[in-house]
Amino acid sequence: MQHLRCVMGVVATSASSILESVARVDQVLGAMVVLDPVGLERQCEDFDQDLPLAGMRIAVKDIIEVEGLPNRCGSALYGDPPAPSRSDAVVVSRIRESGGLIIGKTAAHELACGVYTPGTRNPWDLSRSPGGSSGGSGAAVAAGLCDAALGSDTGGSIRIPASLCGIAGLKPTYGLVPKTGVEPLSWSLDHVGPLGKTVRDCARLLEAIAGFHSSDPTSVMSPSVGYLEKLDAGVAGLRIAVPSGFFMDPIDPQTQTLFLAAVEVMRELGAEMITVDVSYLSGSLEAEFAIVSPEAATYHHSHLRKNPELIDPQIRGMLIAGAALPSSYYLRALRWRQDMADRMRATFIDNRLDAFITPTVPAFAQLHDQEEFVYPGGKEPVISSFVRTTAPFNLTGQPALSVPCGLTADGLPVGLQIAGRPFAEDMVLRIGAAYERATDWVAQLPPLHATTE
Amino acid sequence: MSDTWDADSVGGLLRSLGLDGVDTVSDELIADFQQRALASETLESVLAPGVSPCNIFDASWE
Repeated sequence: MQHLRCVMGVVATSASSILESVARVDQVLGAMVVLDPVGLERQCEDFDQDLPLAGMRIAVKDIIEVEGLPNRCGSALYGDPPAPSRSDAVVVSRIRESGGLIIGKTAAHELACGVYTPGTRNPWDLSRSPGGSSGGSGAAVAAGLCDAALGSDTGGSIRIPASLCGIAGLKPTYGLVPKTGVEPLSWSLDHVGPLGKTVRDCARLLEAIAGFHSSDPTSVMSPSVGYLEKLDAGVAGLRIAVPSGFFMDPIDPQTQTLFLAAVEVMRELGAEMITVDVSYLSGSLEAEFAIVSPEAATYHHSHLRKNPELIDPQIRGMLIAGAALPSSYYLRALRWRQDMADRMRATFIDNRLDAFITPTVPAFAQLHDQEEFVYPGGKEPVISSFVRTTAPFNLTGQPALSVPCGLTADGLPVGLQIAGRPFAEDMVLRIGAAYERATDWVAQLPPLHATTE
Repeated sequence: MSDTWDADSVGGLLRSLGLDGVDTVSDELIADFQQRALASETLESVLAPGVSPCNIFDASWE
């Protein structure tokens, strides 16, 4: 609460003082694509300290509509500059209604389709990427430009930057958070969720944005859950699975060591740790790409025909493949996805699991121009490495949280992924909060941070 | 056996879809098509015949 009071003090002073600090740090970081002084001033005038997000500074990924601001999606396809959005996305409206202060929009990898977010630096090491596609949101939260941010996650795009930037990030259950006003990448895999310095920040933001909305056909009626209520309940007695193989094959040795140390922390906190075989996930990467490609190609069909030169060549190739390849490839992937979800469900039921933990990604932040990781078991493209361990939970739709679980010898963050049953965000957040309390990783700040600049 | 893609088949497919001119039929594009065909075949090889796509949350996880 100390932090919140401090922020509210700033708000009472002036909205511009918030943005001056953001702009100063962001000259180096490159996390923000546009700030919103007019909107922020208006929000500060209407400030109500009794609202649940009162005074919380929130940045929004630049694929989510904010009234009066352009929605670039990291792409030249939408105009230069794009016309300002006429209305807020549902999630942005809900944040404003809850008292959150929208400070501006964060950089996204082009069309939310990539893990680099070019132009944005990682505050832990400016020569490295913050990840993607919500890289601006991850970097902004890590560097203290905001208290929390919105991101989207189709194959790991919230959890990857959370892991690489040393913060918390949650991909909620598919359908829990409405996507109206959010530019799609892949309808059946897209999720919107929070990134925050702490698990509690994520829980607060989720509480504001979650819940059915009739404007989104994928929105699901789900029981109302208080995500903050059980945050302090601990993990004693919970049954948590640790996968054998797959997530660790291959993996960076330092990342593996930090992950195994996190498993021991959970055990010491009283959780029952169970090893499970999830070799059935081994087609996840193929299924993910086989679904994203045609769904994205369908959405961007007119862009592909009219302005292909404005699309990055690699993304353009993916869209062409998605538009042209036989529908049987897509249907095979959907069938495989169903089979895999059935097996994951059986793993949870048969083992009476409360959650499943893995390394969020098998490595740490890549250099801006790095294309591959070299592991003891061989090389793997950066995008394959990252998406391999995060996409399984896009395919199943389960909630999955990333929390920091240590730093490498070079001071780069590593993330722990906690996945739960559908709509059990309260359990996932509870486990993340217990781990966060038991370690001091959340207290670590990157070399580039608003409080020290 | 997976589909085999080459310059003629990829070029012909793009022409038939009106997507010729969007990109050149490069070695990279052909390799990408081929890789996706192999990936699809891999998925098919481990699928039971009766599996069909449906709502993944239709079944209870309790």
